[in-house]
Amino acid sequence: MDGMIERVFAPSAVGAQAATTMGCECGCTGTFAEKDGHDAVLAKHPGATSAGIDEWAVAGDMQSIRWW
Amino acid sequence: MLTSPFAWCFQTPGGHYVYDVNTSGFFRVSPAVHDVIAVETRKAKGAAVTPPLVERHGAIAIEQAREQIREQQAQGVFLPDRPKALRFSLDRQEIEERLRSRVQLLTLCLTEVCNLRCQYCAYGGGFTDHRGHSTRQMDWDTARKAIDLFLPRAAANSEASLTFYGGEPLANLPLLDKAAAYARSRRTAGLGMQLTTNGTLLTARAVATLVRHDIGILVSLDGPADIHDAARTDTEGRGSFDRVMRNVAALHATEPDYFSSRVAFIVSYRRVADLPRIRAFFASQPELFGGARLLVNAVQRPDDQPPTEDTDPAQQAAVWRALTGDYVEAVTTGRRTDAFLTALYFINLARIHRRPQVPMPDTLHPNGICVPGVQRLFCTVDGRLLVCERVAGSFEIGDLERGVDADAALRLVEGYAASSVASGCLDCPAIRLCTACFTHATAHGMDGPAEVATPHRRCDAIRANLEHMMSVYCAIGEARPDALRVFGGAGA
Repeated sequence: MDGMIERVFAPSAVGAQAATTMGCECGCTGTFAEKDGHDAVLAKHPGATSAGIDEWAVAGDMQSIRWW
Repeated sequence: MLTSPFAWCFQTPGGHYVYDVNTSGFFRVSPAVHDVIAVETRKAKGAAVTPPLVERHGAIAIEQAREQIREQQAQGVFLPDRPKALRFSLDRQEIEERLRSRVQLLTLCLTEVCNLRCQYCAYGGGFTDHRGHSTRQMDWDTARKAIDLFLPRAAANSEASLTFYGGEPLANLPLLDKAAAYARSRRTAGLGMQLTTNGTLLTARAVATLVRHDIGILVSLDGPADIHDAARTDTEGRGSFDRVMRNVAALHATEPDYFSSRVAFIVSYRRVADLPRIRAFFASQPELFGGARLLVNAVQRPDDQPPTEDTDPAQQAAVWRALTGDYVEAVTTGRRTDAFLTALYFINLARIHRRPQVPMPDTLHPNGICVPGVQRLFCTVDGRLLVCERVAGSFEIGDLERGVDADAALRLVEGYAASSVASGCLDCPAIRLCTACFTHATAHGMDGPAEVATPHRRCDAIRANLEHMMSVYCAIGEARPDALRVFGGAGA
């Protein structure tokens, strides 16, 4: 336990890249089929993120607190 | 010898975690590993650290932790590597191509007139470079030219957006009517229209105009009467809550289909301490707000002031604890979260969930900035083109005669990237998740070399927000990994 290191919530485990397309914040406005491969898209579009997040992020005033 | 990982340590109710910047992956780790990495990252920043690591965990545990970290480093995890540069993804030609036919959104400032004098208004005179209150109106010639400029430049998009802003856009209803009709006549499909309103001028005539042109509205409503009226007052100092609620109720009664599909509300809060009462207010009127979409934002505050007006940090923390606990409990038990909680958490968590989990490239896109003039474009009453409606007037990138100047756009992004590097972004563990953009910056000298100043005045707040959200994300995952799927993909 003292040296425990375990990668968690990897994309395949939690459906993080389950979307069939990705949008891109670099403004190319294209969507990319998953078959194109995330890496290939990112090589040309470092601003790429998944589609569907078109809202403003909540203003960053939430505290980093022990919330539990 | 342990090289200091480029990483971010945090905790959840059930565990210790490290976000590894180079892989953008989350790692659940033992307390000893967490503390060793936390200390190493602090040391790397030059902070004096005298941690009682051995006293806390014992010498053997610390050595085991170090050994495990070294093993991970041999496999490419917890590396100290930093990105070498921030560079905008597109060159001038690529920006120009997008400006030619892929502009996504135009916002017309129909008027600078507003019948309210909200205390926190960006145009109230307290913000550097923002205009003050004004009586200027856009004229038809300007609106028509802006639409004529925009629509051909949005031709390659299946969906384009035309939005209306102010002042209070309904204070210039004739121009709204004319501009919307003109835009619809020029583009019959794939044109969404929307405006932001304070809700006090939603007369029968205004509603008829909105419904006729299918213009969605985002109504500012800050919660119950006392909270709303404390800030959202008219020129006589009278609160606007009663007028807004009367209009909203009438709209709901007369246009139920429009109301359910085209009306959303935006809450601007000044104090975290108010959030429970604001949430209760929206939950208490399910007939009006049950299916409504909410956006919730802290008010924009002048640079030299704290992010919110809270005076009691303990109370503030208690509020976040309660809200976050409710949200995590709802998501992990599969319950539907109320619109208020969804507004606070979903987008933040979806951004984390959908982050690219690939090795960090040497060159990164400068955090959350858009392509100026492409993703959004703001036209002032006098026909100047700015990056968006939320930036100060100094972010001018063109006018209605010349259109958007690709050189100005490029100078702006280059200036922003250079300023970000100077501000220490390359060494910030939030670099791959950061949402800072032009709205956090001020710019000058756009006719020559751009000077983009203090681009990240809210870095501490953004990092605190991200750390909180990473903790929430991992807490949901440790309770029920499949619950995280709610944040993924279209339609989630």
